[in-house]
Amino acid sequence: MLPRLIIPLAWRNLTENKRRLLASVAGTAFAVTLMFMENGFRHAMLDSMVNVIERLDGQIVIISRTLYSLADPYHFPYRRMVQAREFPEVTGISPVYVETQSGYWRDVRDGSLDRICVVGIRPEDDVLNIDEVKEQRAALDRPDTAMADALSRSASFGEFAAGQVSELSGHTIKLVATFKLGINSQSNGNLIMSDRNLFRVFPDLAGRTEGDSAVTVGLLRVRPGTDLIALRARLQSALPADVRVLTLEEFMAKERDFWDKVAPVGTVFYIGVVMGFIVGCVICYQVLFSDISDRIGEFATLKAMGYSNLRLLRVVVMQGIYLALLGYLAGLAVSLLLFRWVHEATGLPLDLSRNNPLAILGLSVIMCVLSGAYAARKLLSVDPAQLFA
Amino acid sequence: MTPLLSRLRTPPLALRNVAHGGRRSLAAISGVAFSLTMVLLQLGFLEAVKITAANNFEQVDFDIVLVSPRYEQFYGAGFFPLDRLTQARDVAAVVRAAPMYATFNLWRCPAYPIGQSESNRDVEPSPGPIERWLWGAHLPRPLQRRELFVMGIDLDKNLFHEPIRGRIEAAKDRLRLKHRVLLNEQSHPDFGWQIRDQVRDWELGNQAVTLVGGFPMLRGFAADSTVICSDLNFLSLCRFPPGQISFGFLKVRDGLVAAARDELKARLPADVEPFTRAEILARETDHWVNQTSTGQLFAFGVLVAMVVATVVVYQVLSNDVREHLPEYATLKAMGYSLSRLGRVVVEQSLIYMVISYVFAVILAIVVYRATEELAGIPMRLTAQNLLITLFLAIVVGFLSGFLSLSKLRGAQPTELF
Repeated sequence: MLPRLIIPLAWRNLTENKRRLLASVAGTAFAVTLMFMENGFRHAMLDSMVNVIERLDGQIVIISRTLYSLADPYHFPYRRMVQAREFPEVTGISPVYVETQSGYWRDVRDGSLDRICVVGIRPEDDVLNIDEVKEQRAALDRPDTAMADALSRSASFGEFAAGQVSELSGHTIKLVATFKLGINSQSNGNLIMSDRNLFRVFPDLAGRTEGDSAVTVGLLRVRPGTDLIALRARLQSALPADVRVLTLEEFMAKERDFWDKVAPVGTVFYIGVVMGFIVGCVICYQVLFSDISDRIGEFATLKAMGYSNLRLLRVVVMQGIYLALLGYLAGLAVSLLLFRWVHEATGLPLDLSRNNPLAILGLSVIMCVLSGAYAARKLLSVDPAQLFA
Repeated sequence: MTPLLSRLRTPPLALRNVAHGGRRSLAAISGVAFSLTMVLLQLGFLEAVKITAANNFEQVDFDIVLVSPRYEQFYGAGFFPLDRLTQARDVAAVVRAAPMYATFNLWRCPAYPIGQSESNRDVEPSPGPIERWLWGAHLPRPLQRRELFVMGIDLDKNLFHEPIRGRIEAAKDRLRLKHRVLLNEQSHPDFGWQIRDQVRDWELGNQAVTLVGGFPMLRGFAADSTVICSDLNFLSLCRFPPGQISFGFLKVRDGLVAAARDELKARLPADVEPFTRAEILARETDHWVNQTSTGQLFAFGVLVAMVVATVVVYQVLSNDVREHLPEYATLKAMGYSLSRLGRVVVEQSLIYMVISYVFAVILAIVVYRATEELAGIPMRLTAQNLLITLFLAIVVGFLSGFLSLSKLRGAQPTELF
């Protein structure tokens, strides 16, 4: 009985004046958009840093002890992977080579050179969960071929297309297909090559023997049902100290962690989210406060009719919640458009669904309830006599 | 009529409205102030990208710089033959030509407390920015190796401006010894500058080095620390192609910069490119602001913050007009013309904006300090950004005041009742 009484009152307070409703919802919606954008930027930055790792098909990785971010790849000798293969739980090993510093792609339009990130895989290993790569893997096996990321920055490299012939660090390379991966703040484009083609372009990675070849990420596939944490610990103690063994999840968390907390970019966007929340609180407070001021007479009448302070507070808080929900919906719609726009402009993976939309909803509601409760302080002292003041 | 009397007849209504509003005015001002702070903050982020982009070159005393055609930005400079520097000296206008070697290398970041070994802490999440700030250099951490930017220079051709110049001069004799280096005093705390008295075993690129001093240099988005050493030490500590350098910094006779640049371009082979100071700074800024996603995201941030601020300001001001509607209606009944009322409204919105702007700037100073401490990037409130925000505030204030006028038009004295 009680809720049915309260809900319509809060709802009607909010929707009484359509133009005012529009202004209030717009204010809240923009605060929500602000949080979405800052959070989205932060997530996009972090997601883009792990886009390769995320697509690796395996359970455990071996990396160099020195590697702290895949953007500055450090390598370890392939023989460590062979050693790991001795474990009965390990069913397959696939080396992944990453070169971010010395790969330069020649733009076919004007001949200018730009740095590009090169990922090397064995074409016989199905290690990358990218549909186009899975389908076209065989084509990589031919000499001097590569696949290019269609989402690379076109201002730097032009539009990649299958059949294009250009030069990677002084070697003629033919593009056999394109795929979609996405760029990050450290590189403006991606190429995928077979390990043999990669060694031809970057002989340093090949080493003198196969056991010396410089692997960046050593991917291990293990028998289903294996205790990953226990196996990781056993591998770590069995292998020399020049490598580090992590589960794929730990590796991904470590990479995100570096960009989120150690590098300055993560912190900056974090500050942006907090500021967005504060601005949102101030806007909602403004909306609800002026609404209460306008209706002080009505609230005073209700109080005279016997409404308790708590009940009046609930009306205001409910009003805040409605405002939050309406503002959230509108903000979500605006953010969707903006996300698509920024994604097209920067090539960064801005994806709303990975952006904890529910967490933002929670924040919006907290924001409105907090500012509603704060604005409602005025009601505690409201006096029916004020009606005639 | 005495001036006093005439002033009494036209009371400063706008100011009184604001002053009389009490809490309500405060709420309006805080709403606008926070939105403007957000704009200032986003502009500050973008500015930080520009500052860090330009900072490195600003520390160096040069008129023209020679770089490789593969030059991307200061931290990814590539290399070109040292001989080109000798050839550049043949150009009459060039008075000094100094090389700089630059590359990334691994630094052994000491553990804290000292002596703790590398352990299973690998997989533990690293501490957040707040924790880092609270602990500072005394944050417990394991031994790790991280990249920093190493610059090798010819000690007899000190090419830096003060204060770095003085630090190099002071340590010059010691820097000539084998594997002696200077470390950036403003490094990320992990690199150990703050606890340098307790650390003995420094390593750069897996070789033991000795710290003989420090120098102040901003750290940016690309490198968390920097090291300066002599060219000979650079070549023995870092892997670098023989006979190649990263930068050739030239000093040119006054007024001949453009001519010297053109002559260098004509004379030198295509494996090196000359840029004047202004050109390379513009290129560097363009790279960080337009070519990297970091700069682009911050630019979008500025845009979003500005739109939000506009909406908030309009919302606040139109609310305010509505609240005062009965009063305006009364004034109208008393014979105030619409344009006179309009002036009151617009004036009032401008007063709001100016007060909010002052608060926003004060708030921004605090938030800038916090960002600088937490993220370790330089945040500066530049005159340009202050003006942009003020301009935005005034334009939006004026527009919102103007848009609210339509409400006044319909204000009927009878609405009072």
